[in-house]
Amino acid sequence: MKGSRRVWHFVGLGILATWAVVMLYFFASGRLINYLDSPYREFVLVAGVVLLVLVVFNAMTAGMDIDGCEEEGHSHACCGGEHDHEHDHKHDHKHDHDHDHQHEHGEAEACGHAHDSTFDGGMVAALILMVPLLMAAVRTPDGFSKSWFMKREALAMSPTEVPAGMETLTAKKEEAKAAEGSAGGDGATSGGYGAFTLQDLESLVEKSEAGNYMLSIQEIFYTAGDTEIQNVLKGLPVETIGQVLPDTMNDPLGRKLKVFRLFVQCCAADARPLSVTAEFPTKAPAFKEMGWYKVKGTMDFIKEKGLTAPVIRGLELEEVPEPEDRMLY
Amino acid sequence: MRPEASQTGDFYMAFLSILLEGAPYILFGTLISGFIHAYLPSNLMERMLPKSKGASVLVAGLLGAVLPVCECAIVPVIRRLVKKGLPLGAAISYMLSAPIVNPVVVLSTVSAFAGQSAWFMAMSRVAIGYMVAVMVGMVVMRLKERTVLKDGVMDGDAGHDHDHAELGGQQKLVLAMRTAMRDMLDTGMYFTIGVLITSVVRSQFSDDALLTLGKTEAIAVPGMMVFAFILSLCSTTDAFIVAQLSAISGSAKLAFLTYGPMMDVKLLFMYSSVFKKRFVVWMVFGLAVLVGLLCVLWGVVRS
Repeated sequence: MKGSRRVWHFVGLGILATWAVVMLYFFASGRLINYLDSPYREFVLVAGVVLLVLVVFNAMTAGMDIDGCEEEGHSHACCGGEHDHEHDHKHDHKHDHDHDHQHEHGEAEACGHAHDSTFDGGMVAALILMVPLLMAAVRTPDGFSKSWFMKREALAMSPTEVPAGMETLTAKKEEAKAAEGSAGGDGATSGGYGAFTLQDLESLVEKSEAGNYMLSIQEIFYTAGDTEIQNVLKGLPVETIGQVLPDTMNDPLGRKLKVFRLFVQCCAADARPLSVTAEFPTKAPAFKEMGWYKVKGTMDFIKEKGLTAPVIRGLELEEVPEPEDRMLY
Repeated sequence: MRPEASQTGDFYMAFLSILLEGAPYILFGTLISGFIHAYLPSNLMERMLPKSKGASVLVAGLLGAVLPVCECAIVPVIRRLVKKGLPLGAAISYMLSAPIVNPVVVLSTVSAFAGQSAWFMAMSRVAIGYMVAVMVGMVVMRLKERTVLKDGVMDGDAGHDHDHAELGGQQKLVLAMRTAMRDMLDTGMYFTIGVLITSVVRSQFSDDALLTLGKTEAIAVPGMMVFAFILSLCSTTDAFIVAQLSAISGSAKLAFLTYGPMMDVKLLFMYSSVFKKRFVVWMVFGLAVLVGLLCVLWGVVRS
């Protein structure tokens, strides 16, 4: 590999090495959890390692000629670019003279194509491959702003959409029923699990020292589709953690808040809100928009546009540290 | 110290997440393309596929079920397969159908549409995707390679690759790795441009504005195809986004699910690394017409 082609080869290697380093850094630092679900995170790790292997291999073999078309001391083949050389030759119009001239060799010369060209995109391509990635890697906040939440509301999760593997109280209830049924040895009989009771809830949900049932946002959200759980949960003290925004659409008096998590199906770019309303008896306490808070209150359910919606009758808002896993997968 | 969340920060978030998600698949595809270039015998394609071009297009459209490759990885693979003698029509048919007839995509569609005639929806997606891929393949089959492929894609003896039989084992490995590197850089550049544009749209525009296209009865089908084009979602997860949109008709949802894996912002640019611009533009509109017509017909037959 000669001349400018070798230079661009190493520019290309530098670009790929940068991509690999960014991938491996985001994985190793744990920041990747804000962007991708598993197993995509593990794919990034593997890709970073494989990319580094590709870079090292191609760097170590940069001097290896695989073209097989090289003439001793001078190569006409596999040039792919302009160069100067001096030689005698005959032209169609009759005169012989020595002169320097420039001409281009296409890749389809001598052997038909070049084997050793690895990056011929030029400076523009190099900038496209490097600048956006580096800027994003350095300046990303690892979290979305209020603007993102507002823009994604049209695609907000609905209680009828239960992604596979989502932890819901209904899922826990069904698991417990199945376990109870098989322990009884007789499958589904009238003397089996029976209706869902407070005792069943207490076996599924932990309570805080203050006696509040500690439920995740998604557990509260999906109770909207389960009347059995609603009947037990209604009126009980609960607490949950999420990001908070004012619910200005439905409440000009400033009593209502949206408490939400961003749910990610695949990558953060498809993050959509999964939110629950918290309503305070008077104006909601002061809070920082998009901040993380623990909301404590009493569980209630209301009818909104013909659908049941869970509401936390809020009593307390307590700021909490941002969790490591900001996204819900 | 980490920057504060902002609208610009949203752009960086979207950009990084799509790029980091897609990059491993592109790398996978370019490694395959590198090894295809170095190791695959030139006449293998001819031996594997039916002699008849039409039959090869039909068979290639189903290859994605046994050789599943996602839309990010398929482009560099196709480039090398064409150079190894895969007929262009068959290549296009495989390229367009692979992200849809992919078993993982079928299962994720079933999962997303649980309770909404899930298997019917999934099979409709496969059927329409296959039909469109084959129809486009049949058209391309009649075109000259030079009108479809970018100059330089088919450089080499008689426009096709040779076996590299003259290279030793070590040289073939070096060739494979250098080809993979080249394809990674080439495809990566177009992918980056596509991701940049998608990220700008996602961070600057509300889904409601885009969804309005899908909710308006008269333009629901083309509207949802525009939505799919802009969102640039992976075919393994796009069904979850659209399944829950109760205000959107079934045929519009199907159009979203079928058009998106074949053509979106990032694919537009990735295709440009292999195909001529005019052909890519033709594909944008041609696919939209075919998918749209079939989905409308599906809606009429179903009702």
